[in-house]
Amino acid sequence: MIELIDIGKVFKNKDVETKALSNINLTVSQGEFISIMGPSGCGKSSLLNIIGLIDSPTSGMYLLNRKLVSNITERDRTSQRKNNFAFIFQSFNLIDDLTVLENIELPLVYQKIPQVERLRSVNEVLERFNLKHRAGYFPNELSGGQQQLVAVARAVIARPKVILADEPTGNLDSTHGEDIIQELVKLNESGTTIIMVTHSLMQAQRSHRIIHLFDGHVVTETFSRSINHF
Amino acid sequence: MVTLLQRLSRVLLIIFNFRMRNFLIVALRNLLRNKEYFFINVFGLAVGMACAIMVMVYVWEQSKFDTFHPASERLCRVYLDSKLGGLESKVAVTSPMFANGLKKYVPEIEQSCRIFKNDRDIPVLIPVSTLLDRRTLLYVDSTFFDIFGFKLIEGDPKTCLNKPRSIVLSQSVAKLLFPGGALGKIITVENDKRWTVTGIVEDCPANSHLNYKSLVSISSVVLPDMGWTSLYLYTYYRFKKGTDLNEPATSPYLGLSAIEDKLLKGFLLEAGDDLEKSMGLTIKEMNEKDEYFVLRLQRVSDIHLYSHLKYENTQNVNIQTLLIIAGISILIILIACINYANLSIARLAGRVREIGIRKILGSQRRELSLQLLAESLTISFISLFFALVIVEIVYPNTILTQQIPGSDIQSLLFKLSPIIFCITFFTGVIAGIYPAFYILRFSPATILSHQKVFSTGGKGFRGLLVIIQFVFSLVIIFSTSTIYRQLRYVQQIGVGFQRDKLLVIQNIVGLEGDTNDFRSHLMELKNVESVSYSNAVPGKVLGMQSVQNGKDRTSNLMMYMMQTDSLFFQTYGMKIAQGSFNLVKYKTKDTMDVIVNEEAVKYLGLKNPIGSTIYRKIGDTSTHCLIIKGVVSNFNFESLHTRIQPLIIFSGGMEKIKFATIRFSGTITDRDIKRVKEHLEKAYPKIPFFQFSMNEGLGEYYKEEKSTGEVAVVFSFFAIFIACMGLYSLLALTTVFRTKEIGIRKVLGAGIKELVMLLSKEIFKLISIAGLIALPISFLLSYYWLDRFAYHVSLNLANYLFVFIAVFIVAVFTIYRQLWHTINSDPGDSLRFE
Ligand SMILES: Nc1ncnc2c1ncn2[C@@H]1O[C@H](COP(=O)(O)OP(=O)(O)OP(=O)(O)O)[C@@H](O)[C@H]1O
Ligand SMILES: [Mg+2]
Repeated sequence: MIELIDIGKVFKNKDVETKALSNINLTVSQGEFISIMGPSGCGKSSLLNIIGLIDSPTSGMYLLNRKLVSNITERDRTSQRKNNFAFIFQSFNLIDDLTVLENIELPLVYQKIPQVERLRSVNEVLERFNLKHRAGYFPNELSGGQQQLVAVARAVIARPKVILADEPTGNLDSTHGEDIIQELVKLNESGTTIIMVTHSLMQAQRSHRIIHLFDGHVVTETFSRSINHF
Repeated sequence: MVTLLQRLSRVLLIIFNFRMRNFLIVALRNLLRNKEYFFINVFGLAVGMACAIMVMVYVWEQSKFDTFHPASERLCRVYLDSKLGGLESKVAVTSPMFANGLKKYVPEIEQSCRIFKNDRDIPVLIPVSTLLDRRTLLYVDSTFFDIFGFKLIEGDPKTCLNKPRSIVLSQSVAKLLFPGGALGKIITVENDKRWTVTGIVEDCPANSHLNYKSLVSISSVVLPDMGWTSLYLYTYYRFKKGTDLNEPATSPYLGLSAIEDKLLKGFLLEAGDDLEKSMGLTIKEMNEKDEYFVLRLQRVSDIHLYSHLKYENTQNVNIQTLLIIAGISILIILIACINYANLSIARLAGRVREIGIRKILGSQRRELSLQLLAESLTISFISLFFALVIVEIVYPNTILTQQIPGSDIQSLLFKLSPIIFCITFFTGVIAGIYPAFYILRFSPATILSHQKVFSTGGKGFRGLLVIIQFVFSLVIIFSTSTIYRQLRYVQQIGVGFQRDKLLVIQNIVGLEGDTNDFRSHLMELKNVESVSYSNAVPGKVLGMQSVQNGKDRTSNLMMYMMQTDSLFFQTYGMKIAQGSFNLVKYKTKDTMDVIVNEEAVKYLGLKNPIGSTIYRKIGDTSTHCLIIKGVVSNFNFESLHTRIQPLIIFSGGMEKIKFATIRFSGTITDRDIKRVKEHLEKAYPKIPFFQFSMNEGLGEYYKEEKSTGEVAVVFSFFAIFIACMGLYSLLALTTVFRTKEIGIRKVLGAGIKELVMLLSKEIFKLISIAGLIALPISFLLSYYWLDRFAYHVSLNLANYLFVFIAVFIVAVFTIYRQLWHTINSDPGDSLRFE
């Protein structure tokens, strides 16, 4: 489903060039659950952004559903994004001016789902994530962990084909973190492809495959099942 | 006081010590990062201050008119204030007898001077053929140079004007007529009269209401009438030192001062009988009817700002317009301040993290706000520098500049420097005080939980700033557009006749009885449709006369009189309301047909005007009976400031004809005028004709309106410009804060269309609220200004809507310019925005 061939990403800031990614080759098939691990600044978020069509690579090819998407127009990207991906950001990226309910509802609004249906889905998700009593709150009235939950809820609501999660449990205590992972596993079992960045080996082991990044390179790929065997 | 000084020194310490080292580095980096906003701040404040300074200089100069005369605090002009026949009137002209005739009743008068202006231009034959413009040719008493402070460059100020046929030329005229020195030379004018140049005077300074180019001794001209009640020239008195001009009269009457009372008593002793005769009723009867006729004094130095009498010597400035201009300049500064405050608060929100960190590092909240204040003061003084540069460059090249000797802009600026300093200081304080308080409000906790500042209700707060900007922009743009529309209206429409395509030839007195011949000559020319004669034309009307209503012979009414031929109405394209335009001069010896305007019908209270009669006394013995034959629709024969007055038009003998009006079939071109001129010069080589287009002639009435109006419009454009700039930068800044939000929305699937809709809807909401707030303010302001015109454009919602939509488009454009990139590029870039 996702095929990255020789992907590279270079950030240019005035005179300084930062090589965030180089020669990344990666294939993700539908229904897979993949973890990405690596030290801070190794390019995990950058990779996720490229996969999610949020950023474009500076070199290499990206095939999504066998179509080349590394250099299509922004308009096409928007629709590809809308049809395939949902994001859970490292820094939440909730909209400050909207309530919890409105934030979660937003992807459905842009998918033109009628309001009644929208509200039903939102309520269901709020229930699932135990956020019902916070529905009318604004993001900055929530704790970091609660914001993370909202971000997760927003990602799952539209039943996307692929969920890209950048440290989805980074701000949660271990029980709540576990809940989130449970949720992701469940979604994966029902067919959603999941790519998750994490620092926790425990969590990574719940996935099918772990990609280790170092300094913008893929160092190793391990299959978690084999790790389990050790 | 001591604590205040201590505080001040602490502020200075902070500015120059703490701030210099630490804050300035950060501030500079900020400024460099936000070059655009720094530029907008400094530029906005600089332009605002430049406007204010220029207006201040302008107002200052306007208020210093005629103050250069010796003893100007004792120098007055007499004017007449009356209410006769129900019509109130204040006229600047007096009888020639006033100057010397009243001295014996008012011993306080030290010196007097009369100034007379002819009502036509005087043709000069030798040394060059030219015209002495009636507006700048003054016939004056020999005391002129004693009373007024104009500098005589050559000649003897005491004697140069005391002989008949003496003329004193201004420098520029002298140079024009006699390049090789003028003193003692002879000027030959019409009828081969010879005037001797007895002096050269400086060109009239622009800050005098006496706008002369040449001065002729008054004894050179035969004054039209020496009666005490014929009013046609200006009288000036200088009073003795120590005279209290404000002392009220012992028996209060219409607020006259003691001196005015004395003048009036003297006048009534001399001229009471004349007055009663010309009014047709006694002083006693007049008082019983609550009518009056008094003499009043006005200081010469007050004339330019406050005097709006009939037959003013020159158009005076209207204090109201001056106030509006001053108001606009204050507004400009305020807008610049608000721009500044808005921008710095918006920027503060972006710097909250920095402030939070400084807070942790131990800086006090109070110090932070003092820093902000210091920053705004610094910026306002930087702006002052640029403002002065702008003033230096712009001021000398604008209509604001007056040709006043010894008043170059530098010395004026120097004179006004304390005020300028104050303006700058307060601008800095006003601009900085709000951001300073804003930061004071934060508790340390809120500063660190950085989202709170601009986020919770941040939308509302941002919205408030934007609304304030919108309100200012709307009010200013709408008010300016009203001023502009009114100025156009005044110049173009609504005079009650078709003012285009009319060419007036004046000074046709020399024609004598040859009028039919003259007309046929003109009719031969191309494009000429009709020619009409009259003794007055719109804009140049004769005075009022006393008449009696036919039904009530004891009534005393004042009406304007005008003499025309029957072609007049057709030529001017006036509409007939009733009756016909066919006039017969004399039916019997003392009966004649007249046409009145609609206002006269109202004034006379006539139900069926056609056939009604009016009586008009001719001299002491005979009375003319005027029979109304037709009613002409009202037309403006004075200016749009004044209501249309009752008017009687009769067909007269051609002896008194002064004007010929030509209607052309198309717009008058220079070729047409040239053709007329050449034709007339060939046919009547002896008569120097002088022509003007009706449009131009009427324009003269609105010269003051035009110039102060233009000033107002120019400044309003500055204001609009600054307001738009503020709007632009504020919107730009607030949209920068939304870059991230737009990125998120894009990631969640929002397309370009949705984003555009979202932003448009929000800005529309804000501008609608602003529109509702600005509506009453704009209408009130505009109404205040329009109120002084008897005829003015109406204030309607359609215009307001137009302005509203224009502002909306500018706003939307601003936002899209700012966000277009974000909308069209990878959301990754915007998501990293912090
Ligand atoms: N906009 C940018 N401009 C310049 N350099 C950038 C930019 N974004 C990321 N980088 C650089 O690219 C590299 C990879 O960044 P990335 O955010 O992908 O790291 P990461 O692996 O997600 O780290 P972390 O675990 O801390 O989230 C870093 O060295 C970073 O400095
Ligand atoms: Mg990261």
